[in-house]
Amino acid sequence: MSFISRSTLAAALLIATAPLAQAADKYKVHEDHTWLTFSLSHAGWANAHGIFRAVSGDITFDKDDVTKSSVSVVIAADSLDTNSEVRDRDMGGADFLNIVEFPEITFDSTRIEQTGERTAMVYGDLTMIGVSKEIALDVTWNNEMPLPWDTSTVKTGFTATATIDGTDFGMNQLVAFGLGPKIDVEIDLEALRQ
Amino acid sequence: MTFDLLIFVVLAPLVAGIVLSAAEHIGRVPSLAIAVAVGATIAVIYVMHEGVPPLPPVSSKQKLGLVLLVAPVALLCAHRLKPMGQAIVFALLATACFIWLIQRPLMAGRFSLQWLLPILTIAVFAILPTVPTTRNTSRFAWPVTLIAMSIAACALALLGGFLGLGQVLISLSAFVGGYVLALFLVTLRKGDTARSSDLSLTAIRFGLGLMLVQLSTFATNLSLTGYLLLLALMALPFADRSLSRLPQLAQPFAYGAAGLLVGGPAILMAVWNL
Repeated sequence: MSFISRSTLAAALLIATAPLAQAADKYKVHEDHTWLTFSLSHAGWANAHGIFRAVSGDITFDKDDVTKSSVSVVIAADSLDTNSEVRDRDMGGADFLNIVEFPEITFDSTRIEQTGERTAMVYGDLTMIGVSKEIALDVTWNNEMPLPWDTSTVKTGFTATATIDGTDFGMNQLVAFGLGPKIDVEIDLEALRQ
Repeated sequence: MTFDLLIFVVLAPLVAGIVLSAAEHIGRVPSLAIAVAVGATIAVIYVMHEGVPPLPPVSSKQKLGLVLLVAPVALLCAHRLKPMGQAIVFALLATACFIWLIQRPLMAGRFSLQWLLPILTIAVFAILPTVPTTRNTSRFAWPVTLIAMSIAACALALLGGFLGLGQVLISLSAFVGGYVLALFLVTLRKGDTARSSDLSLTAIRFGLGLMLVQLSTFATNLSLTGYLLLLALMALPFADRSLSRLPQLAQPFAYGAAGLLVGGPAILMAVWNL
């Protein structure tokens, strides 16, 4: 094969694969700029709120065909903060999050349905306390742009909401203590393009 | 809601304890049958609170439910053995239970110093009941000790971040309370002729011991001093044999007061988180 024909072939391969590489970008969840909060009824008096402070994960984001995207997130169960150390310990106990046995909560997407120009339903398996259940996240893609002070770093951001039932995951004591059991989840997540 | 809770958590187990004790002391049902029924009732109490464990169980709470269901069978196998043999059966069952409960953190290479407490619990529950008491030791010594331990354990669980097990232990306290109440009433009527079966007490010790293994392994805010005092209650039947020389009907109150001397501080330690 001559030099020219080899170059032509290489160029053709590059052209052929370039759109694929651009279409599905890979991102790492930016832990310091991610807020995974939740709220649930506290016996009808008010809504109790909490946040998981350690959230990591990977996102594959295909802007041309969002249904080909995927997300995988790991939450450190012991990073729970409900504004009370005593309550955090109770919530981490065997009746609720059971962090000794199940230190991680994970979410892995299984399918995505685009619902609007910037919105989608992301379905996936939430695994908590050893139980996996499919949940649906209502996701909005907010923005993507380089950092103003470092244009080589591109950041994208999403907002997502979901409602889960704690008893689906075996947290039956929620009901006994007048908590939930419906839990509203709100996620604001920023991710750095790799 | 509160009334339902009272019936479910306290009254039903109390009545079950009274019925089984009466069947043992009045109805003359074979002690082995009663002991197995006592063990089964403890398992049912647990399952009523924590739900029917799935197969295979996922969490330690579900595993304990299955172990409690197996405990009466273990007792059935061990009933012909001498106290030492029964102690070995309990130690084997409780050790297997403990290893199963910590299977996940163990497999992940995560260890905890707190795990020394369940090991100590197994040793105390296996060894102390084999120590012979005097011939005239009160029939109330062990039952009242077990009530005191259940109540103290309940407080430690509730204050130690193990709310579900705390509720189970409230019910267990009511159940053992019902058992002792019927024993007291029978003694009031029949005097010394009605003996209590060691097997029923062994069944209660099996159940309580397994729950304490769970409590000491997984309570996220367990009071160490309180828990050690709780275990010290197991020495109550040996502590002061002069209690057995009191009039028979005064003995449960005397043992109860002695239990309060140790169990009370155990609860206070838990309140103060020491």
